[in-house]
Amino acid sequence: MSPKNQLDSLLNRRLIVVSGKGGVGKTTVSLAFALLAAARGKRVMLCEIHSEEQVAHVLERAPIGYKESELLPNVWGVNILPKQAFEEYVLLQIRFRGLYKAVFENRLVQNFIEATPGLGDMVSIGKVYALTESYDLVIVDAPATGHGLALLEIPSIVSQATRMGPLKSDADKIDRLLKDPSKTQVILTTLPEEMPVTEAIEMNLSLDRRLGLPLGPFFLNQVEERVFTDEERRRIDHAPETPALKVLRLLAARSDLSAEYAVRLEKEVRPRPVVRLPFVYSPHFGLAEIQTVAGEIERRLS
Amino acid sequence: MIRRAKKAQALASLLQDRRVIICCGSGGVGKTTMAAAIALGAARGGKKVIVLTIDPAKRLATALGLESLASEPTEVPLRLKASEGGSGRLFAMMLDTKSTFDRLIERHVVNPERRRSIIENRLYQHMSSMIAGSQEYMAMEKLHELYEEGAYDLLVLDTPPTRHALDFLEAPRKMINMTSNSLLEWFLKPGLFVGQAGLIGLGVLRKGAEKILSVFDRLAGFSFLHELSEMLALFSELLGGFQERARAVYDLLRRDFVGFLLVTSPASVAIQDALYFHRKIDQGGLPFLGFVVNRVHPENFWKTSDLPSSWPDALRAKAIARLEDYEQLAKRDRKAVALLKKMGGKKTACASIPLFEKDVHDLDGLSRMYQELVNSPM
Repeated sequence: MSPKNQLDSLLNRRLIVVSGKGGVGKTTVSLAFALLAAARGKRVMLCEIHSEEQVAHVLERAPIGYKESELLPNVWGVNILPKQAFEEYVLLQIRFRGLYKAVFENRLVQNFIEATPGLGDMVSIGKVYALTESYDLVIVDAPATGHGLALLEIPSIVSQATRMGPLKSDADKIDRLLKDPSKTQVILTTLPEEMPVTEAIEMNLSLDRRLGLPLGPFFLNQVEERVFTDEERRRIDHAPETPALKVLRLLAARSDLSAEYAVRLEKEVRPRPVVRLPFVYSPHFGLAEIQTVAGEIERRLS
Repeated sequence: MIRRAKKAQALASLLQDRRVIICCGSGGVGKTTMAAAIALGAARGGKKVIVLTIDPAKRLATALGLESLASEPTEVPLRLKASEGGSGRLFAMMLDTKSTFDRLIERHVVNPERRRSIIENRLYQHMSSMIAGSQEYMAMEKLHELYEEGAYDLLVLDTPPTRHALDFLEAPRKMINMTSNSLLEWFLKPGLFVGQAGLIGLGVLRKGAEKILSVFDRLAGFSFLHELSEMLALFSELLGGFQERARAVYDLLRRDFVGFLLVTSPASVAIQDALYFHRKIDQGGLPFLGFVVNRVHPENFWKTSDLPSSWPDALRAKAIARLEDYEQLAKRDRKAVALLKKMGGKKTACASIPLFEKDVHDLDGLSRMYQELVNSPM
């Protein structure tokens, strides 16, 4: 793959899952991909899963909910809510709303469904699969729990646990899509900090080996670039203590730390590429800042 | 200054009073570190404390003596100087979902045959390691167990890094719902409905059940249903016990010696999560201690005249650009803290911990963090 079309090659897939722990910038990266794909004329669906509406928050709009809505030109969004996804799925299978009501609106059944592990994940990923059939590109801003990987693991677990029925054949279909590197790419996002980097290194070992999921480049968010030369650093370290110097030393120490972690990640996951995205200094994080990040991704991948 | 000292006292004394402190918040905000800092501070103050952490960073785990996956309480040497004396002790333990789950089965499923068939059940194998919310169940389970033991003056609980605050707070209720669910009863008696012909014995069930079972059959096949029902039957002893404990945990969380501390970073997403969490704590009638905003960029009233006049222009320009970057973040953080105070109400304690030059992963760092917490202007 020549570097020239690295970004196009990524955006030409059908499904991009942006994964990682909470607070590492998944929503930012997902939205940036959506903008880049839309700029290439694609009809993009950005899915959140049972989220607190992070996308709506960044875009400063009303909650999206379980309704496919156009957020920006060519960028659509949906918040996949397990309960609704479940209803939609079951209705597709049994086709009688009356029967659905009789069975699934029973409070006992509702409680049971709520407590059954993995069921919410299964119907949510099923909805993602269905969306890949009506959009050019589906981007999943994966839930933070367990790196969002439980979501990607569940179809194969369901497939192994069931022997027949539509649930099994659907699970198989979804699992094939998730494991097809020509159609799917899992992007792991992380931060240049102790915990997130350690976890990313561990994930790198298990993702493709254990789960067989097609892992793409890592995205390292909020990298504080080193701006001072060594000589300048010496001057900063030796200058008399003033409020300004206190800040400069703090920032210099933080960017050293950031650089150390970035290098460690790059070394440990080699040959997998690490895309460093710079920290965006702004009192507010909205569409303009996402555009900045999208620009940085474009610059680094083309 | 007087006001500042008085309010700072407030959070410090709130922390003093409690016997259970639960640190919650979204992922990556420093909950684990904060829980460890509070535990260390209280232990150095003379209490016998245990901190239950979930997945600590390796270096922090090492600092707490937890490198070898300690799922039993392990004592952390306090390294106090002789002059500091004190009778306080600090223990730490890690909550490991899978092994806690297996241990729970060992403890509550008496029959060894039954225990083996649970562990060997395919669904159990998959689910026990990844049950959504199982970390929450386990955290609750352990908290209650340690509280009942009564061996500690203070329990500090770190909570799972879930964005769904709700999962954690609702784990006991969910378990109560599930185990008191009579649908479960049908699954628990697989002989009733999973016969050779599929529906033997269905006549004895209520009318709705027939429909439910046929729908489940159409979706997943009876073999799956059979396996599920088998697993649930095997879990029944376990769940029966859990129901009682889940109720006890539900009550425990509402006692006045318990306190929920909401940890957040000043980033907008984290603040939104914290506010959402605060509403849930409020609605759930849980005792709320206050917010802790971690990694704040304190306002710094720098002037260009602070910079040495001997510096070359290029360096001055770069330095000023950096100082302006910093100011953007200080501004963001000030707004974040103001928003928390506004939404949390007048009486809400809101402590700010400044960003340190290094990440915290040793006892000195934890100590510094604790000092910042109890001395923070509200």
